Amino acid sequence: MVSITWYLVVSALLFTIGLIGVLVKRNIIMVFLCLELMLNAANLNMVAFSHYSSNIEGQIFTIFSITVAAAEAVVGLAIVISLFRNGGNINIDEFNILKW
Amino acid sequence: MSYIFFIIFSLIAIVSAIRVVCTKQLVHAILWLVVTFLSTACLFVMLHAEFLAAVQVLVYTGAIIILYVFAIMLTTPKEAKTIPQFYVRKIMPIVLGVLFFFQLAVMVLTRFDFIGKKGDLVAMMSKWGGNAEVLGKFLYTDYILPFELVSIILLVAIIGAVVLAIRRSS
Repeated sequence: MVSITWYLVVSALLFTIGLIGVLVKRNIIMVFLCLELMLNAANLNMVAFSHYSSNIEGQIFTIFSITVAAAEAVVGLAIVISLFRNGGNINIDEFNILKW
Repeated sequence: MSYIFFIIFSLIAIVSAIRVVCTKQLVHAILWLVVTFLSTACLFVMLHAEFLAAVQVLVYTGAIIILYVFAIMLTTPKEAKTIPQFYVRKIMPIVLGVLFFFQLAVMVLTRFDFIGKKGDLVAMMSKWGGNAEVLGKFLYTDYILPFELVSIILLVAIIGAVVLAIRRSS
C-alpha cells in the first residue's frame, strides 16, 4: 500500500515542473500547456486525499475542476487566436496592446 | 506490487512533464503532455477513481489536446523581437520553482502522514455498485447546484469562445 505522502510528492513535483514552465516559456500556447500540467497535479492531489481519507467528495470536486479546466482552455485558446489575428504573434513578452 | 506500478507510472509522468517543459517543438510538447495525462489516469486507477481515469482520458487527452493542436495549426509563432535577459528569464524561475518544491515537500512530509489509514471508500463503492454509481449518487443529490452551475460555466465558455474567435467582416 503506497502511502499518501508519495502521491503528494509526485503531485508537488508535477506542479513545480508546470510552474517553472509557466514562468520560463514565452510562447503562450506553451504557457497554457504548463498550466494544464499544474491543474493535473492539483487533480491528482485531490484524488489522493479522497482515497486516503475515504471521502468521495474529492473525486466530485475533481470532476468540477476538469470541467473548469476545459472551459479555461477553450476561452484561453480563443483569446490566443484572436490575439494572433490582430497582432500576428503569440509571444507573451510582446503583448502590450493594453497600453494604448 | 502496487509500489512497482506507482513508481513506474509516476516516473513516466514526471519524466514526460520535464520533456513538456524542455522541448522546443510545440507538437512534441503536446504529445509528451498526452503521456503525462495517461500516466496520471493510471495513477487515478490505482487510487480507485476509475470514472475519473476515464474522464481524464476522454476530456484531457481527447478533447483538450485536440483543441491545442488546432490552436497550433491556426497560429504560427514568429521570431521574438526582444531577447530578455537570461538570468531573469531562465535562472530565476528555476530557482524559485525549486524553492517552492522544497517548501511543498517539507509541508507534505511533515503534515500529512497522519492520513495513512485505509478507509472504507472501496467498501462503500462496492456496496453502491461501483465508482461511477457513487459519483452519480452524490453528484445528483448533494451537489446538484454546483453541477448545474458547471453547466452554465460550459455554456459561457462556448459562447465566449465563439464571440472571441469569430472573424469579423469589417
